[in-house]
Amino acid sequence: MNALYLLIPLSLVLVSIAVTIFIWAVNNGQFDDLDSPAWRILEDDDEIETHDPPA
Amino acid sequence: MSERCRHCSEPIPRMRLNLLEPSCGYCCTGCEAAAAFASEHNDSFNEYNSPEILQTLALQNAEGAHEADVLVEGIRCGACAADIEKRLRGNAGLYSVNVNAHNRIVTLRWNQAQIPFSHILKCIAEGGYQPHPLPLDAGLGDLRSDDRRAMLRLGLAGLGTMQVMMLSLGLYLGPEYGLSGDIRQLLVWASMLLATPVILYAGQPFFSGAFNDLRHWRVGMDVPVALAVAAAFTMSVVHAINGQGEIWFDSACMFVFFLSLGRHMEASGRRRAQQGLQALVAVQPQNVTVVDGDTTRVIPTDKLKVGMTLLARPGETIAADGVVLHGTSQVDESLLTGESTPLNRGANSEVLAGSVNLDQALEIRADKVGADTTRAHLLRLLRRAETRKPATARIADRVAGHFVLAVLAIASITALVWAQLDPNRAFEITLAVLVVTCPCALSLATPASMSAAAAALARKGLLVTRSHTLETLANITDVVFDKTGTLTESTLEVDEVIASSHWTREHILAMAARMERDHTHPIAEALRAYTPDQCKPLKTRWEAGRGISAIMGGRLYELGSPTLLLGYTSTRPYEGSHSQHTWLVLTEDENPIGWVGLRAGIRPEARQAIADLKEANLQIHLMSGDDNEAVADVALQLQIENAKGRMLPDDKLDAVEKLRENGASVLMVGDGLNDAPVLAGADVSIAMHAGAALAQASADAVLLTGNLLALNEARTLALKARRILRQNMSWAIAYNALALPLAVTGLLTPWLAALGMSLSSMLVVGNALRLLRSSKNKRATSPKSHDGKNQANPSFRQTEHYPSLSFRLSEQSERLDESQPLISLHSLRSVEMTKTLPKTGTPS
Repeated sequence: MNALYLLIPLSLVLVSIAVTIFIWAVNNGQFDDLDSPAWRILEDDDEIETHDPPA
Repeated sequence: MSERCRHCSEPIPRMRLNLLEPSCGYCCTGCEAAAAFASEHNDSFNEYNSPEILQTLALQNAEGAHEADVLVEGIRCGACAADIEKRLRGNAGLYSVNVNAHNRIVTLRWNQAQIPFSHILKCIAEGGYQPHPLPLDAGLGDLRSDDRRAMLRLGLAGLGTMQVMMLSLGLYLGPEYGLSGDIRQLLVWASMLLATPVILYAGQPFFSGAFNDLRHWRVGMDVPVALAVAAAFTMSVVHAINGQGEIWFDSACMFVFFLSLGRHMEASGRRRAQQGLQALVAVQPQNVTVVDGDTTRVIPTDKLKVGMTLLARPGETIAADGVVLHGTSQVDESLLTGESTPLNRGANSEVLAGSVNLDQALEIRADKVGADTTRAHLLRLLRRAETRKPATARIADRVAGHFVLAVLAIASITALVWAQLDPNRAFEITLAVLVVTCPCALSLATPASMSAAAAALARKGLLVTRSHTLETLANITDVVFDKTGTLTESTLEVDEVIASSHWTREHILAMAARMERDHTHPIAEALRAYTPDQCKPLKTRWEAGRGISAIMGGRLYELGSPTLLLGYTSTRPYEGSHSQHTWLVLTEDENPIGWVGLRAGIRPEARQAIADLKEANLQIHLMSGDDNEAVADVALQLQIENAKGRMLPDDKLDAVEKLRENGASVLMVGDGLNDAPVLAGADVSIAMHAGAALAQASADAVLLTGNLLALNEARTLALKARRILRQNMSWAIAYNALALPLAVTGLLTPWLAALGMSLSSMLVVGNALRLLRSSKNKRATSPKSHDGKNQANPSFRQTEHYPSLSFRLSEQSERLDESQPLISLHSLRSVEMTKTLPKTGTPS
């Protein structure tokens, strides 16, 4: 049973990591559009283009 | 790598079609023409580069990058979104492109010095999309952060609830396995840590909703929810601190999570249909070109005054209601009326604000500006109708309010009585009462059945955007249809042919069909069926603003609109001819020899759809703004008894109100902006997908496939949903009636109440899901098979309309003799309208 003293705080840490990732994902717009990303797989990606770094 | 086409980005084949200059940079004539067309219409974007206008559209950050939202018409799905991203990617100075296929909004971040805004818009337009930059005050930023917050709440509630439930399993089963007090306390603290953000953050909308209700002296569904959650949470915290007593963190979290989930599902369906649409209507031309003597100057739209002369270039949106002074052009009023075929406008004809000038520049005298325009008037009507709408919703709220009051009363009586009998158990029992009576199954019963039914309907092509739609749809007694765009469609069909002395009608049709053969616009499609089988293709030439010309047997033949070819002021062959028709004139060496009248075709499935609805004992009405003749014609073909033409939006709204006063429950089906007020004013309304954006925003549901047969199926499904809803309701009420006495008498502990409540909710949801299954089985007999039959047999559609054609021909001939000596009908023998009709070779 004493393992629980370690495991339960550990699970809380894991949950907080999951929540942090989730919050980051939402604020980063990952959940704004749930339709179009599925179509990207159908796009040709044979041309390699470079992005300008943000100013 | 070889050179790429400037339009489609495909590599240019080495063996190129020899029609093009080798250095033109396009892969085929199609791409060249498309690019030329696009660039013709793109000059209007330059105005967006001026700093004053950019300021209203884009935010500038500290590093000098601009950020703006652009609503892009023409995004249908994720593939379009990917296409736009691909188009824009790699432009120097464009930092980020984010395309949202959901609401059709593209968010751009760019450096104006490196790449002007107009260039980005041009890039989007070249792909065949129509970009509309959105003003900063359109409120999109708020919508987006609202969306994100809702998603955060839901996700947090889900993650937290799962953890808390796992821990409470330990708390429930612990005693059996000899859980020590310390470990129990650890579990309790951990649950509290996890439950706190769920309750305080994810549950916040319920608390603020309840607070709002109480502040206005109302009692809504949020009140008992907030009360139960708050009570369970506070008492659990107290018990956790004391180190003894029941813990209800799991029940509270579960409650918050399930309720948020239900609300989120309902809201996202509605948003999806509405978002962006309203913004589109809000898009106004930012500035307007006014003509001042010989000079023109650009002024902001809100400075425009009545009596000014404004210049509308091709591709521009007209800023005011007015009368054309100079020029002829075609205008697209689809945003206002849903009418998808462009309309001819010449000197002295009226144009409406919000319509788009397509062809050539028009000089327009502004008669009504700003808030006086037809569009502004319609928007006001719509708002008025919308405020009237939630009558049924208010009744539901009031009933729920009574129910909630009863719950609260019972709970407080229980608390008081038990405080006397056994103060130790008073709270526990009160909580059990609150949980058991908490209208969970009851409040789940409606959304669960409704969302299952909505999902089933979506498979049939009907997107439900307001939650009351299905309830109301089950009760309808009357169906009101609009004509244009609803019962008729945007494709055209040949209705009348008028021939001159030496040509027969068949020859006129065949010649017109041969000349239009290589074209794809709606007129050519209508004529396609009349193309003679065996004859050489004609060499034709198309000239903008004139029409199609061909030379045959040394004579010049031209086909086009009478205003352009003959210089007529009217677009009709003679006074009294069908004004709703699109008329084409065929000339031989510049003398008119024949006329072809085209009308909007009736949707192939409309007759069956009307018959289905009639069979269900519904009253069918047809209300249209078109003239009585055209309306009567359609009503006759579809056998609609109650048909009325020449109705203004206000008339329609009044007529529907009158029906409702007489006890009818009205379903309105329409598509134009002129229908928007009546769509909002009817009990329940369905907008056609191809129709005006605002019409969709104000309707309760959108018919995505345009298949009218879905209407009756939707009604059947709504009836079924109502039956299941009633079963669910009676179960929930029976369960509450059974459990309440048990809880009040203290026989039911809170955890047992929560368990019973969950089981009861699951039963309700399971029952609701039957709606989905039944729709799957039914798909075999869905309208598609019917539709397919029509398409497989094209002659079916044609023969249907011929009687009316020959009828018109004979009717027309009598009128013609007196009114128009110029053109006379060659012969009056009845036309055999089979597919073999125009088989004759070259006429002459």
